[in-house]
Amino acid sequence: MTGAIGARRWAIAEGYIPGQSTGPAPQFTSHEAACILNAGPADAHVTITIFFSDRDPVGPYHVTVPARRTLHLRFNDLDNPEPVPCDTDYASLIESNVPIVVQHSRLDSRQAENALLTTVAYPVGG
Amino acid sequence: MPTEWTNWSGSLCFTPNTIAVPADEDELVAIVRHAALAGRTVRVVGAGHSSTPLVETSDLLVSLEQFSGVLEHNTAARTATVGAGTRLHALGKQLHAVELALENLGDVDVQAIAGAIGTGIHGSGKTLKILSSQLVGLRMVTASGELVEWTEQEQPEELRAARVALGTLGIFTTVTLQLQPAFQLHRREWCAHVEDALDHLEQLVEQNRNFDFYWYPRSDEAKLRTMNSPEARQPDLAFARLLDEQAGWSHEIIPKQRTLRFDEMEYALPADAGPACFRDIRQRVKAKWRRSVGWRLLYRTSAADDSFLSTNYERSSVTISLHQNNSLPYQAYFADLEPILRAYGGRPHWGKKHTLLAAELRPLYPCWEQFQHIRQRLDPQGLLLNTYLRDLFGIDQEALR
Amino acid sequence: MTHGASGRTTWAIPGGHIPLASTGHEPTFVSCDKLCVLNTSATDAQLALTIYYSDRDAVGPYPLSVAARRVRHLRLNDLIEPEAMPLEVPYACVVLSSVPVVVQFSRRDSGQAATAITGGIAFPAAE
Repeated sequence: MTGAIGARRWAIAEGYIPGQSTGPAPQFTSHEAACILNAGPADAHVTITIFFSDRDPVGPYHVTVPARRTLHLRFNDLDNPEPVPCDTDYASLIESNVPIVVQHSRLDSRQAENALLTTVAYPVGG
Repeated sequence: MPTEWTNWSGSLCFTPNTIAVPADEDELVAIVRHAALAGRTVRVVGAGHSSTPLVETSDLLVSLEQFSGVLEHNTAARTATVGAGTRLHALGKQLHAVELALENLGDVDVQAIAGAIGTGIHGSGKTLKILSSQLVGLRMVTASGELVEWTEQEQPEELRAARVALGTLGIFTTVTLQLQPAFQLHRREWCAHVEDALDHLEQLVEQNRNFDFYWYPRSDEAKLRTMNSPEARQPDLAFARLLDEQAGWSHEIIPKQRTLRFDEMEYALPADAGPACFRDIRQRVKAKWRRSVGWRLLYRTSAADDSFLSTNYERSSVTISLHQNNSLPYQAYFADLEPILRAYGGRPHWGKKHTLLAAELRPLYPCWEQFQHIRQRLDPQGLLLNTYLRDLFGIDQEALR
Repeated sequence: MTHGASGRTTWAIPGGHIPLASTGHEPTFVSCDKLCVLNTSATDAQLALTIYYSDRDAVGPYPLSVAARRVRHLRLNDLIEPEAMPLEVPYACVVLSSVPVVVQFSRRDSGQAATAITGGIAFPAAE
């Protein structure tokens, strides 16, 4: 059995929850997710802060990922302190008391012609 | 040692044999008389903002930069006489210091006033004419080396020619302008989808003192600018998002400050053809030019006037301007869109890129011959012409000798 | 709620290629390459982008700023200063920032329905 892996602080700069969907819910509902792996022996208490382009950050949102579990967290489902607005550029900062691994994904079913790619740029230094 | 001369955008360069910078009228008269005797040609240059070869010469280039400043003003009559080489930016401030203002300004204010008049520049506003319409008097040195003074009262016909004359009637030394008392404007800038802007276009043009919009070819969005007196009710546009607003004196609020250089093509269409022409332009640019053009296009309106070579001669206009970074190629882009602008009856801006010469231009200007007659009378030998102007005006080189 | 800076001052994106064709309402569905820059610090970030090509000199700096505690999502197609980037041409981008930021790169290709794209920064195996 492995111990905790990952890092305690993660950033996803490319946040966007599409406001419309095509196809049956919930599989094809447009959504954005942070997939969080806690491989360690202790529960992870995770705090999320949402940043915007034109107003102050909102948060903290609290989520717990139990020990040795994964959580696919849909940003659409956050609502305390307030829902994350759809169709709005945002970013998220994800902090945890224990190391976790975070992967970002999005499903955008607004129209057929809509291929998407996203990657964190390569961090050179500084 | 001849030095190369380059215009503002960098797309026009040539090497005049001599660049003269006369300090006063006496010196200018001497320069012109000497040139006439020596059989030379003379071109006059203001700030060098034009990108058509109006000032191009391998012979004598005369700069007006020392003819600068407000020389006198009359507050009651709201007029001022200013040096022909005064830059619009400085002019705005100096007029403001004596509580006067130009009725309107263009998008940029780097040009010299004589150049702005000579090429027919304008701002945007349904009731606002080209800047040249404010010219009510002038002093100039003619090709025969004489100092001539014209006023609207004494020489109304000549003034109609002088108002857009491309520096071919004479070299202006001072211009007298009909002005307004200094006034304030409240400017708002909005972002909207271009379709929404076009749906509300008529209302936007009618209801604002100054209105124009930029269209972004790579996002199909529009930036709208409305300007009104601060006392007027400011527009609230339900279909647009307010980005910015500022109030201040007209000379600070109307022009945009920018450092990035560009080449430009602009045509003036009859006002009611503007929306249809723009739609065709938009379709073509989206279909063919997004690959290599990112710079926004500009849509403006202006009022009719009676200056012989005004692009608004006896018709109010919509002007559509294409821009390209000066470090990227513009020729193919402009050449591809020009036929659309011409198909709607467009008249090209004299100081911006276009390919028309006399054969295409003459039919666009009902008073073309009246202008040529006055020019010919003042400069029969063509001292103030270059090859481009001869082609532009359809003047046979042989006939001049 | 303050966090301090996150990220790095230098970032690289080797795989740029802005698609040419778009389908659907714009600007929402305009095909684009996008940079998303998150500045969690209390200091405004001044950035400069340099664009590299395969067959000509690099172009830049493209100036950009991201205010303190803000994110900026920017379509590279929209840049014109110092010059508009050509579409459908391979390029790479290096981002320099005055304060550490987090940079994420994304692409939308709405040119046709039968397109799915995938990609990511390769794994940096050693220094």
